Amino acid sequence: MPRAIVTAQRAFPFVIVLTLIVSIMPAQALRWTEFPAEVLGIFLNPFAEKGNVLASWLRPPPSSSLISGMTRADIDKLVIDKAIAEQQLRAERDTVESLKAQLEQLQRIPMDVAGAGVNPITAPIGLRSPSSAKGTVALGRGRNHGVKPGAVAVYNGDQLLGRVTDDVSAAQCTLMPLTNVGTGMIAGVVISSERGENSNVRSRAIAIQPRDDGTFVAQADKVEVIREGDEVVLKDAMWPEWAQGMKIGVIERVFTNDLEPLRNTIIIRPQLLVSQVSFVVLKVDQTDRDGATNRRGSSK
Amino acid sequence: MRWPVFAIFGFIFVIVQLSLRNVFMLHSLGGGGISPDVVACLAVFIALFAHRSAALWACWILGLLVDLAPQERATSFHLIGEHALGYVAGGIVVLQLRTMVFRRRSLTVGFLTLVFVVAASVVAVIILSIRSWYTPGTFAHGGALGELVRGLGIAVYSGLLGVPVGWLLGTTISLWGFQSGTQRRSGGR
Repeated sequence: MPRAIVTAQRAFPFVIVLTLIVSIMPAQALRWTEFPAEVLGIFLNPFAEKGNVLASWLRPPPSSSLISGMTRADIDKLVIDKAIAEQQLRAERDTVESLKAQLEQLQRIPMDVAGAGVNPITAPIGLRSPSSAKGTVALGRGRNHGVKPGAVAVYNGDQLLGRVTDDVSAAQCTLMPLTNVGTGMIAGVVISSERGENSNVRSRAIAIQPRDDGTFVAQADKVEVIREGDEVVLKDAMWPEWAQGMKIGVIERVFTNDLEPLRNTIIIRPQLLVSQVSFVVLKVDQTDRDGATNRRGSSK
Repeated sequence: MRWPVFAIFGFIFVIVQLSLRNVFMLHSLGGGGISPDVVACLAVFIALFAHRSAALWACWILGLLVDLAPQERATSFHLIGEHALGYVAGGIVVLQLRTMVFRRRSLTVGFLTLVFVVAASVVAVIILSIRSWYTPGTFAHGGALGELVRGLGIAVYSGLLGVPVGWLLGTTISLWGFQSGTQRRSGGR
């Protein structure tokens, strides 16, 4: 029997050399890798979602961020109730927008119309980054559900978790956690933990940068009274208007910046990480979702 | 080695690595927390018993699957080679050492998993270091040294987990159909 010219043993060195070449290719030459990753995700995601549910059961998220005893049905009902509340809010906003339009005509100042028609959908987490809790994760929702790049992911209604990247396919999308350094600078405000209803303490704006260890760092002048335990919420024009005010984390440590003695360095720790939950709530533009539903007939 | 069995176990271990890792994650440690490399445990088990060629191919395939998983860095591509080549390097190390150890001991799997992950981390850091010359922001954990230290932490944790995982895999050894790789041979392949 003639020996095969190409055997697995002989092909292996070539495969290794090829892999080495691919590993040092520049980013622009590696965009084709998204396709095999997506194909792999199609097979792995359904099982990974179940695995994440099991992981959440074995190691639940911190109790301060999750009401004990809540089932998936309870959470879905809360999501619906919140949608009704948001609809009523939109009705009031319509009145406000009408007045703004009149004011705009009078003053000729352009104003953005924001927040109308936002619908929440739950998105199960599938594949996670194998090497880091801050890595991107795959969500089981995509264009067919109205998800667009930049969609915001939240948990418990007010806990900010991250944003959807440009990688959105028909049934899946990729979520970049807020703690990932790729998120970049975020503008937020510090809410004093001692602030009462009638307090005159004003919120202090800070610029937050994700760190390597899953926390955030910010700088502030020492004249700003910022204490450990204060809460940090989102106040960034690059994020949707309805996301403003959502929780980013709690100030863990405040200490003097050695390079700038008149400024404090602030370490902020998020109360919840993407790695601790098995699903997130995505805010989807209602018009986009209806359009996707009409095109396909059924979104779920 | 029976490749369908490898496919099933590889699929299961990759799912565990990508979904159940949070159960084992140590958040309090630096770099956003570390978790063990479960797929490396499987790769070590295969490298201990399979034929040399089959073991290296299996390591490459497992590394490739991990490379195609969601990335840690905010990139629009998947860096193929970081784990694929790292696992092959680890496999080569294990193939060299397997003639000197008691292969059926679960402690052996644990120790060799540590060695495997260290070797894989070194290769991964070398690749990332080369890429950092022309791609900024390649390192996600404070440079090459930070990645190495973090890799060492993952190696230790993986080695600890490798002991029970090695025992579990040892109970399935009859399914794999390993061939003469289990025979003692001086200077074996």
